[in-house]
Amino acid sequence: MLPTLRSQFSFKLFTVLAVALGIGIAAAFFFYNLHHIKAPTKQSMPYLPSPTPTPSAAQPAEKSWPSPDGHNILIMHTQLSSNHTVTYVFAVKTPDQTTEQVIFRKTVPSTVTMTIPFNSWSPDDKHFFIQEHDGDRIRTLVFNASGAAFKDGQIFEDITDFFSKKNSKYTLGEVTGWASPIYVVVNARAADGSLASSFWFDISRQTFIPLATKFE
Amino acid sequence: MVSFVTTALLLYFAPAHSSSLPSENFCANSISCIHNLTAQVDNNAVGYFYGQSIIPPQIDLSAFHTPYQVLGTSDPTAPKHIFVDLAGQTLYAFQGNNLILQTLISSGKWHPTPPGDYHIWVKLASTRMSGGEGNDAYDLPNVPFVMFFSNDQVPASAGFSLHGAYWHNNFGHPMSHGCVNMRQIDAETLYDWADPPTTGTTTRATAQNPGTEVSICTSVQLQAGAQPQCVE
Repeated sequence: MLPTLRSQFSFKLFTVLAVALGIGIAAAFFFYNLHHIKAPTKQSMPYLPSPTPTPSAAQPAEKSWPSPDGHNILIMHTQLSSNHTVTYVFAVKTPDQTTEQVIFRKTVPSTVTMTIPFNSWSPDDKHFFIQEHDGDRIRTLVFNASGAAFKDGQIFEDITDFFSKKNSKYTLGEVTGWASPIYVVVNARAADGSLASSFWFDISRQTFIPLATKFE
Repeated sequence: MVSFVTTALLLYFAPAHSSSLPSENFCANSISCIHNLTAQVDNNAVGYFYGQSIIPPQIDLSAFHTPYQVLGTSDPTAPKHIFVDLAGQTLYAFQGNNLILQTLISSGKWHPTPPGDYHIWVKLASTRMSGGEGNDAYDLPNVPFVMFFSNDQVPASAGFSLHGAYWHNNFGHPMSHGCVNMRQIDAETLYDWADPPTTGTTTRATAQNPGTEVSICTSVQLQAGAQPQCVE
């Protein structure tokens, strides 16, 4: 049975009204949100510190850290790749130099971060250490600022690895800085997390010297 | 019984910092103390610290000049104040309510740095510091950018100072015999900024040019837009 003219008209009218209603609702929603963007509420905004450079594939980030006497600079370049890895490049230069000497380069998963601690440089500017953070695990790596290898042919000394091999009684707590040009201050933790003892890591002998004093 | 209770109460309520005041005749650098109050350079000497030989930085006093002040230029007349947070091992320098320098330091380990409010009484471009005994003995030529401070309870003769330290880089942790150690670059910046205004390699505070106030605090509570609260 063919639809009558009257039913066809009713159907078209209904369709037009439904479309108009839908457009009206959408328009109302649009203008409602537009008003709120233009006139935000007056609640106070949280303080946001200046953001640190975020590595991107297009623009590598850079952090520079001077030696304590200001005669040398340790530079960390960071570049994020599209495959969720980050490449860190560590280089040194003097303030008046334009060229950098690359000392170390490493690509890690984006869940791993590498840092330059405050006390990175040895007091004589001949060495520095950096740290690799992977979850709760921190590795401390010592380098010659000249880029030269150590006596075992390695480009860096992994204090964390040395400590775990030579000391089964404690776990490595913090590496805090340099007690002298060749001694790195290392704190060891007991099983309950308390400071057990402090050591000096002798970078020339790759040995740990237990101390009577705790350097906390 | 009464005297015991009284004594216990007196000890309990005694000012916390009085126990860390140096004893009479104490000097932070027990050998060198403040025997030489003019800038001193020993470029041919080898230093000694905690059993290690240390090569001091070479210093040319003739190259020292009236410094170009880079800190606090936005409000040069505002009062200067240095705060040292012993708990956080951090130094804050304020000019008025503006924080202009914040950095890690190393305060006293073998003798505590006594809390209190002080003023700088002399600035030396370089001096030699020695003291300690046994494994703790030290002799450090060419200690740079030295700012001695004192007050009525801790006199100048006690020899406490802010200064650069080239023999260690363990800032953020106590490492000294009472002085406040800083990175050399931070000590130089603070030295150039602090009063009395530097006039040469030895600069003494006077009534006309008093030294900057230095507050050694057990802890410091920072306050937005104002100088911090110093807990002594």
